[in-house]
Amino acid sequence: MKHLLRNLPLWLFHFGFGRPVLRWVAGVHYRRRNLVPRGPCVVVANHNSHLDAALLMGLFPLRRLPFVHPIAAADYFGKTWFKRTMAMLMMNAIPIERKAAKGQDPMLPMADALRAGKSLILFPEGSRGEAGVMARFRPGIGRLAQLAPGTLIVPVFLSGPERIWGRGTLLPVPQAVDVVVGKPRTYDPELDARDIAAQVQRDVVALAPPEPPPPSPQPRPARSVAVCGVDDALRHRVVRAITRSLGEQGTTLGLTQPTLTADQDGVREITAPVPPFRGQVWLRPVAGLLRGGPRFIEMIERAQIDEAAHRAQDVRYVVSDGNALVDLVAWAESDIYQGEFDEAGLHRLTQYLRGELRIPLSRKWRSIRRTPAVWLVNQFDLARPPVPEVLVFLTTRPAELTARRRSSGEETDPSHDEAFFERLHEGYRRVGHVMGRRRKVVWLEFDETALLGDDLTTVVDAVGAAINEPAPELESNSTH
Amino acid sequence: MMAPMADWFTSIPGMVLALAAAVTVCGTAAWAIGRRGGRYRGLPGWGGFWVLFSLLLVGLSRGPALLSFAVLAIVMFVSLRAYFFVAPVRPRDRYAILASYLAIPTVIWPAFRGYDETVLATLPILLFLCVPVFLSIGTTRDGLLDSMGRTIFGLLIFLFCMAHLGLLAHWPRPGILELYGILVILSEFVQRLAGRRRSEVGWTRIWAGIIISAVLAVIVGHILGPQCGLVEEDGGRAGFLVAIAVALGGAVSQAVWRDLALKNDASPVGRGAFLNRIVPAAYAAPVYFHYLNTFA
Repeated sequence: MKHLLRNLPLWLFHFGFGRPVLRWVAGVHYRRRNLVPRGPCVVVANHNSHLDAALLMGLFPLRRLPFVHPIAAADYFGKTWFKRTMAMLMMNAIPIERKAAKGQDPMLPMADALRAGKSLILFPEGSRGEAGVMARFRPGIGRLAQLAPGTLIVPVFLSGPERIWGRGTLLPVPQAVDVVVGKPRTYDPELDARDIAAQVQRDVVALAPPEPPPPSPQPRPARSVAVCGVDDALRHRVVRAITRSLGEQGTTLGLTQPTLTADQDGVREITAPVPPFRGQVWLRPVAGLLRGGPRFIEMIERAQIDEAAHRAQDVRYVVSDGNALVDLVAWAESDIYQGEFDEAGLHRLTQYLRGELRIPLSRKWRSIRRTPAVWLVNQFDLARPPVPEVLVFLTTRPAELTARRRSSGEETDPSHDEAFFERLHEGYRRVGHVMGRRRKVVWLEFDETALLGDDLTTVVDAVGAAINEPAPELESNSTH
Repeated sequence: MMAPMADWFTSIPGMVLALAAAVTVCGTAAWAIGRRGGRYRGLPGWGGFWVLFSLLLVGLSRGPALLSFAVLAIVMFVSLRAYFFVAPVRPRDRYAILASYLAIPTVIWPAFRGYDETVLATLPILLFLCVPVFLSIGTTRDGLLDSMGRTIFGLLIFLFCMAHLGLLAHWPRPGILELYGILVILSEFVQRLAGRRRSEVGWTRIWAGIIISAVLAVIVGHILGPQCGLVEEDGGRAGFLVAIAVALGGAVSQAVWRDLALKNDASPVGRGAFLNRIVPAAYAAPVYFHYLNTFA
């Protein structure tokens, strides 16, 4: 009964006023609220408004409210009777001194509350600050992680409350609010308190939505060239030559091994590590069950890097060593997955790979059986391989290629014989035909005999001319 | 048991049944096609939105006026609130936003009373004369025109266009709002199926969508127009105008959301989609109202 009476104002305030107002007037959206742990935790967020604490208390069910304490600055909320009532009675706050007296540790009451199974709401910036600007997190949160090791810290990003009732504004103006909850985690108590605070800040900032673009012309996406073919060494040489040539016209990225960047000063290798694989953990063992599993993983990685490269705003051209979309469809077509597709079927495969269509239920089983790689990409949205604007295909004589591989002692798949390469070549041609017709991709085909030696000017000139032309409206295939 | 059911069913006005049928057919088809994913993935949500929006139209047309106009005011408020979230103005322009909210009752009240001329006089003065004043007060001038453009665009769609739905509620013969709903949902469904301007959708397909939707709207308007007191030709012409206005509204919303980067992966999920649905639905209301008011 005592517990009920003591917490009645808290419940009445949140149930009868706080939550309805935030829900219906501020239109608050909680995203991933289910990540808030059921046990004691510390919720940390950016702080720009008086609404922030009430918004974060909305993450907890009403029955838990008596065990949730926002941390309030005693020097500010203890000033007047009204502020004291609001903070202590309605918000269940724990007051702490921001400038503690000698010999006192303001963190101790917080650590005690956590040990007692209570949860805390903390704003490590210490003050509301300027609207929309996040100040550096103070080391207090790090000290707390050291005092109560193993405590789960939940990063939360609040966007919108600063526009409703920011610092220095008299009247709240309703605007929508988003509360994005991050994954709870613990921090190493051995680290310095400032380092822990910096880590927490990074976790909070990672949840922030990107800045809206300024009112100016949108940056044009990079124009892309993909070089396909079965001879790895030749492909690599051609990619390097095209990258160097396009680099003279604008910043160019060459996605090969190693990654290249080119501009008017020449070609340089990028030594920065390749971004880690974004795919799910289970993908590698599952891909191992596929024919050409490692190649599939490599294609997904390449597609993801290719996607990221196209989003880079300062890159004008992207030249990629192979293209996951073309390669996967060509491999499917070349009977690796028992595929025999007409033009519509090939086009559908590209749509499945690009995520433009979901594989319908009636085709699921056939797709799993015939093109498991395509099914995996579509079902789990592993990547959205970009469509190149210019597709360069390098043909190689299959007999010479297999002979070269044998003589170099290269370890090869026994099924990769002459007949296989013949089929793969035919697969590439058919895919190129479909791409040219349905996707308006410029298809350039070169025979390896024309590219012997170091002189690759034929390819480079043809690509330079094609990439700078406006996008073709009709079929535009050409063979060299 | 069956007889009261049949009586109740026959007591439902024909235009309401027609709107319900249009929403059911388009909503079900949208749900089924939306399962294909890709650029159709937004269709089920659009169908769900239309279930609620058609309830608003029926409420305005036949429900208790006070309640339905209150609901319309709430829809305006929610739309403006969501719009100002995705298209933020400068922090110092918050009082212009407050003025935008306060403008809702000044528009809704005369619309509720049926003072068409007051509404039509208030709106331009409010939009084009008063709001810029709120934005211009103060010393900072950086981004003034951008902020003004964002605010006025929001008011234009969510106050000006939606207020016309309220004015249509006072049409002498009932059913005109239901006809509006039917024409908009059919036109928009066809145009959404055909696709809107983006890289993978060609112009031929878009034009085909607009032409087919216009033909369909003309036929439906021609057939259903007499049910709400219009001559057949007026119904057909109103259908044509609505189909074109819906296409224009779709193009405008597409361009604005693209400018706000709402199509990116990082767009605030939910709010952008809601606005993308409500803009074409509201955009045609002034065209429809003024055509009927002047010519029909």
